[in-house]
Amino acid sequence: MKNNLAILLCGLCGLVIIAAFFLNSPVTTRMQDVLTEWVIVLAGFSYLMGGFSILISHSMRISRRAESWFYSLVLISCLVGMASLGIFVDNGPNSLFQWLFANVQNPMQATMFSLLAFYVTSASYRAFRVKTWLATLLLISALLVMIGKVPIGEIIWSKFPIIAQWILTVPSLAAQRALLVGSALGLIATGLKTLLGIERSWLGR
Amino acid sequence: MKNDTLSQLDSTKISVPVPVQNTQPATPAPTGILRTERLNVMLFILLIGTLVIVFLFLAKTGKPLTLRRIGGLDAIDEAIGRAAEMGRSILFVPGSMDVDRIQTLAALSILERVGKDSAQYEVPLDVMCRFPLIMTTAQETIKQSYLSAGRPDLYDPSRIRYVTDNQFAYAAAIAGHAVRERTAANFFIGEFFAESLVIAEAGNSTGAIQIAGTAQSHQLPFFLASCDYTLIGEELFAASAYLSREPILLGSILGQDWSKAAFVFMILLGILAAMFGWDGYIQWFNVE
Repeated sequence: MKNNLAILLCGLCGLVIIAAFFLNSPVTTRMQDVLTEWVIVLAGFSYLMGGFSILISHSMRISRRAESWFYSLVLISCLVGMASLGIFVDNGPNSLFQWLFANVQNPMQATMFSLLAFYVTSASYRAFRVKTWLATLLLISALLVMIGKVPIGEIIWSKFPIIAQWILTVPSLAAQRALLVGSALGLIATGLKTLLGIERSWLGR
Repeated sequence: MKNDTLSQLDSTKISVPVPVQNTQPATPAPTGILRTERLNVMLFILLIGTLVIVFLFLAKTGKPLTLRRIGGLDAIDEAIGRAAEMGRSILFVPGSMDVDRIQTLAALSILERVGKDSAQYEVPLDVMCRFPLIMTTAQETIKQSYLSAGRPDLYDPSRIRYVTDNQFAYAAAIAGHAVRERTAANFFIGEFFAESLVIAEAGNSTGAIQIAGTAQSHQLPFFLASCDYTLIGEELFAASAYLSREPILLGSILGQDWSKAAFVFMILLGILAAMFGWDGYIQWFNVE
């Protein structure tokens, strides 16, 4: 019964959104707007659940003295501290909240992002090892694209940038579009099955 | 707080040249009840929908359907079996987008199977979510999986947790978990962005069996380089039918294949249209 209600609601909401896309009616547009607002409200409440989930999971780690429990303590202190600063103190442009955001959180994110450069190197090393003729082809294509995309490539041979561009815009793009068509069809079929209640694995069947 | 520039990386992709540009004059405001400028989209959806539904019902008649083997899905049992032998846990990451995305739903259908198998083999399963709504949906999915496996006693909701919606903090948490817990098997299924390589390489460094799946063509090379098995594009959406082997779901795959054949035919016509200057045919595909 619970599952049937969920499927019915999912199907009805999906139909309203689809109808709003194809119909020029104020009724469907209004219904779409209301549903979108509900999503925002639901998402807002869900963050409360998320916050509790974090607090409970890390409090349990601290109480059990699990491995690296100290980091859980740091996490909870930061979570409570930042939330308190933002809600009860001041979150204006020159506040401590903004300072912490700009000088602690942003650099940490930038650090994580910069790790990508090293990961790309290690992943490329594995991917480009010449083991089969396909890997050789991949290595040659990658080398051509890399040489064609750096200024020195053009100095060595003026045709390198043209070859690199051709690889990107013809074989690579053709493969990407083939993937895109397959994925789009799969996406539509999955959406349809979900709306019709045929695909219900998201409910645990 | 989402005003940071890094969070915008979600939508940052390697730029792909798009040669087709709409040079048509602006469409006048729609007047009728039906938005006729979107009629082409409607016809495509009706065509695909009809094909999928027809084959769904044909599959009900009992005609046996065969699917080609998908290595990534066949390897699920192997990965969970290995985790059971090693006495270590499994990590499942249902992508970086919320539950309103179809790729996330496809990931949840794989999670259902992973949950069932992990309950049968008594392997701890951790799910790390970027959004709280996915957390609650995943909790329900796993609860049902454990019930259907006859092991509701093993279900621990605290193992399915929300981490953060910040892209790289999420990646750091997943990478940290994989390295600290030395997970035996990692599943990265769903919609991923720039964080895909960070988590996949961190998992790779621990020697875990890694199964990834995404329809994001720009992230596929990273997963292919770092994971043992990768579900490419439509394979992700076929997972539910493939794993359940339910005839009705298998029928939908056949419908998708026929839709693909129809698209190939339209593309061939498009080539002819471009060669012979049939502008009407080309313009008909513009989406307003």
